[in-house]
Amino acid sequence: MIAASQIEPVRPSPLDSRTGERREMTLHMGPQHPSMHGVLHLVVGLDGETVKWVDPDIGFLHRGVEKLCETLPWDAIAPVLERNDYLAPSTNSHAFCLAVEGLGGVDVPRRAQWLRCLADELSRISSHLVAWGTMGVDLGGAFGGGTSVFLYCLRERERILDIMQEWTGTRFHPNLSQIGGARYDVPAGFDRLLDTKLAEIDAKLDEMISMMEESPIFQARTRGIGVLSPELALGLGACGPVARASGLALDLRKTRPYEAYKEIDVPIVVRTEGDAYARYRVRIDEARVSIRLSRQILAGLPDGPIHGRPPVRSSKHKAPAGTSYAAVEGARGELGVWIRSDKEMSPTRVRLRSPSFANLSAIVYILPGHLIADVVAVLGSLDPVFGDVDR
Amino acid sequence: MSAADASATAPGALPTVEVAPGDLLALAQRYLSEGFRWYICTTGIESAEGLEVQHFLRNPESGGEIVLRVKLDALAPKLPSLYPVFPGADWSEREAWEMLGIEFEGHPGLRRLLLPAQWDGFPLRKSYPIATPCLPYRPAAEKPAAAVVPAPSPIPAGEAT
Amino acid sequence: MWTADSILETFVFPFAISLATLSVFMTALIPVLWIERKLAARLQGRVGPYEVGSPHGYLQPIADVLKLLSKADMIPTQADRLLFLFAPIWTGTCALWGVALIPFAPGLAAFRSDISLVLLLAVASLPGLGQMAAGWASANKYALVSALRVVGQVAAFEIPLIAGAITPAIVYGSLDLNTLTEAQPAVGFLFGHPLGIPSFLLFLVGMLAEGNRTPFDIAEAESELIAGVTIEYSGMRFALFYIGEYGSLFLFGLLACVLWFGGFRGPFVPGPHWLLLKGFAFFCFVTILRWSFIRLRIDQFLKISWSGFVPASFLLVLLAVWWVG
Repeated sequence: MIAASQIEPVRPSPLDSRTGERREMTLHMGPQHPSMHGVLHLVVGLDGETVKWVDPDIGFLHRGVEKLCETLPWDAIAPVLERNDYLAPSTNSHAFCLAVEGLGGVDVPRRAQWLRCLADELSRISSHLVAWGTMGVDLGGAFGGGTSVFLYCLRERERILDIMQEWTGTRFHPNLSQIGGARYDVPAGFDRLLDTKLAEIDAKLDEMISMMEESPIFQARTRGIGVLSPELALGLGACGPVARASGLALDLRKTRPYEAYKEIDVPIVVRTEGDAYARYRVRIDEARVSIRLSRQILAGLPDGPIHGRPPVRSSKHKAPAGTSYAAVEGARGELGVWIRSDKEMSPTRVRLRSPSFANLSAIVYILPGHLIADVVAVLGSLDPVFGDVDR
Repeated sequence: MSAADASATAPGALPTVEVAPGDLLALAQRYLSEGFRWYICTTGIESAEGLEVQHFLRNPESGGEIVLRVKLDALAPKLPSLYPVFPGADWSEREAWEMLGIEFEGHPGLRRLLLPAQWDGFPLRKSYPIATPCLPYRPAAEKPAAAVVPAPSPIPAGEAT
Repeated sequence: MWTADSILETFVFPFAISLATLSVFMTALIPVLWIERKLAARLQGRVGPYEVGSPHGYLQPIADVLKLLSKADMIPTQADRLLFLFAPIWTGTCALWGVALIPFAPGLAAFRSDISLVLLLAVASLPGLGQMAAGWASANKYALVSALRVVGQVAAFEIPLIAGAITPAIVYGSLDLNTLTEAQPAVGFLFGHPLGIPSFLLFLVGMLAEGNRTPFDIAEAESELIAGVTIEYSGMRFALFYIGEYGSLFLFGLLACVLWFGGFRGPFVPGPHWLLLKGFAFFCFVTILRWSFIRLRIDQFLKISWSGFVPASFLLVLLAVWWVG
C-alpha cells in the first residue's frame, strides 16, 4: 500500500522571476479541439515533444445541476440528470431513482427493476462503441483511418438507438427510470428485435477487434502508454473500465449488486497491464458481456406492473427525510447519487458522484513523460464525458 | 424527526461516523490501513443544521463502506484536507471549496475547478440565488500574471525562483 | 537571326506545351479531389458528395475551392508577415513545377532534359520548405510543433523516396524520364524486374511521408495539432496549401506511374490518357491507404525510418548497382 504522499503529480514548474515565463512551453489544448472528448482545456507543459506536466481546466460544461436539483420537484430531476453522462443516459436516472427509493417508502416492482437494468446494459454497449470510435479518431486523425473506425462504430450504435426507439419512442435520452418504476414497457416482439440487432453488433465487434488488434500501429500507439497503477487508481477513486484495466476486479454489478444483478451473475472483465490498450480492450470485452447480459435480462424479465406508484402526472411526491446513496455501474464506472432529503418538495442536497471526474483526475499523474501524441491516446482511453465531469 | 435520526433507518443510508475536524486525518489513516483504500467521493453539504463534509470510503476487498462526517463551524468552516491520505481528494475538495466555501487546510492548491477563476461567491450555499446572472467579464479584477499563467503553482508566489 | 521557325521552336511551342501541361494537370486535380471525397465516403459506408454537380457531386471540388476563396483573410498580428505570405505561394506552386518534367506522350514533355528524374526529385521536396516557413511564421504553438515534425519527417523520408526512384534509373541507365518510360518491359518495371517491387515500396513510403498522408501524417495530425502548419491560414492561402498538397501528391503519383507502371504506354495508342488513367488509379490506391490506417507517433515514425527504411534504401541501391554491373 503506497501512501498518497508518495504519489505526487508533477506540478507546473515555478515561473522565472526575471522573465515571468516557465521553462516548458505551455500548449493549451482545447477546449475546442477535435480530440478532447468534449470540452477540456488541458494546459500541457512541453519540453520539445515531451509532456512535463499537465494542468486540466474543467468546468466548461458545468451547468449547476446539483444546485438546480435543489429547486426541482422530485419527479422532475431524473430527466435532468440523464444529461450528465450523456453517452450512457439511462444509467444516470437509474442511479437517482435508486437513491430516492433508498430513502424508503416506495416499492419498485421487479419487472421495472429488470427493465431499468436492461436499459443500463444497452446504454453501456452504446457508450463503449462511442469510446472505441473516438479512440480511432484520436489515434488516426479526423482525416484518416481513424474516422473510418469511428463511422463503423457509430453505425453499429445506430442499432442500439433503434432498439431504444422501438422501446421508448426516443433514441437517446429515454427518461426510462422514474421514482417507483419504469416509464415504458417493452413492446410485443421486442425480444426478436433485440436478438437481431445485438447479433449484428456482435458480429461487427469481431471485425472491429481484429481491425485494431492486427494493426501494429495501434499496438505501438497504445501498449505501455499511460499506465495507471492499482494503488493510485484506488486512491483517486478511479472506477469502471479504467480500474478494471489496472487489475482491480471492481464492478458494482458484482460487488454491490442492485436490482436484476442480484440474480444474474456478471462476469467481470479484468486486465492487469493498466495501459491504454488494456482500457480499450476491457471496454470492448465488456460490450460483449453486455450483449449477453441484455439477452439474459430480457429472457428472465419478470411479469407484473412497471409502476410502483400511480403514473406521474403532476409532481407532488415528497420523499421521506433522510440520506441515501445509490450507485449503478455506469459505462464509465460508479455513477453514484447521494441524496439528503428533509421531506420537502425538492431534495436538500443532491451530490452526483461522477466516474469520469475521478478517472480524469488520473491524467495529472499518468501523462508526464509521454509525447503529445500520447495525450489524446491516454485521454481517449480514460473516456471522460464532460457532462459527467462538470455536471 | 431530523435527517440525522432518519438516516439510520433509510435502506439506502451509508454507515456514518462522526468525526471532529482535528481527528479526521488520524481516523482516515486508520481506515486506510484497515483496507478502506478506495476513495469514492467528498460531499459538502449545507443544510438547516449547518455546513458539513462527508468523505466516503470503501474497502475494495470486503466491500465495506464508511462515511466520515465532519460537522463544521458555520462562520469559519475549516478542516484538514484528506489529500495526504487520498490523492483523489484533491479535486473533490477543490469543488467543495468553490461551491460551499469550505476551507481545507493542507490542500496543495485550493482554486476554482468547475467555475471560472474570477467567480465570486459560493453557488451551492442556500443564500446564493439560483438566478444569479452569468459572470460579467471584469478585466480590472484580473491580474496580468493570471492572463499569462493558466494557474498558480502550489509554491507560493513569494518563493518563485 | 530570329526566323519564324526558330521563334516557334524557342518560344511558342514550349509555351504552348507548358500551358497545355499545366492545364491538364490542374484540371486533373478536380477528379483527384473528387476521388478522395467519394472513395473515403464509400470506404466508411457513407455516400459522399451528392448534391453539388448532379448526381454524384462531381462539382464538389470546385465548390470547395470557391468556398475557400470567399473566406476572410486573416493574418495573426504576431505573425512573421513575409514568411506567412510566402509559405502558401511557395507550397502551392512548387507542386506544379515538377509537372513540366513528366512525359505525357513519347518525347513530349514541357521541359525535356536528360536528367529530368533528378530535377523532378529536387523540385518535389520543395513544398516542405513552405510548410516549415508556415509553421514558424504563424506564431502559433501548434504550428511550431507541427513544423518541427515536418523537418524531422522530410529529412528522414527523403532517402527512401530517392533510393526507390533512382533504382529504375540505375537499372536502365538513364535519368531521363522519357527513356525510363520507354525502356520498361511491357508489364512495367514493377512486375517486370525483381527490383521493381522493393523500389516501389520504398518510394511509396517516402511519398506518403513527403505528402503527409496517413499513416505518416504526424506533421498534420488533426486530432492533436488541429491543422498543423496551416492552422492560422484561411481562405485563398489555405486553398493554396490544399492545392499544393494534392498537386504534390498527384505529381508523385504520376512519377510512380512513369517509373513503375509504364507511364504513357498502353495498348492501342500511347499518350497522356494512359498516364492520367494510371495516375488516378494510383491515387485511388493511396487514398484507400489513407482512410485505412491510423498514424504512428513521431518518435516511432522516425525510428522506423532511420533504423529500417534508410538501411533498406542503401541496400536497394547497392543491389541495383550490383545487378547492373
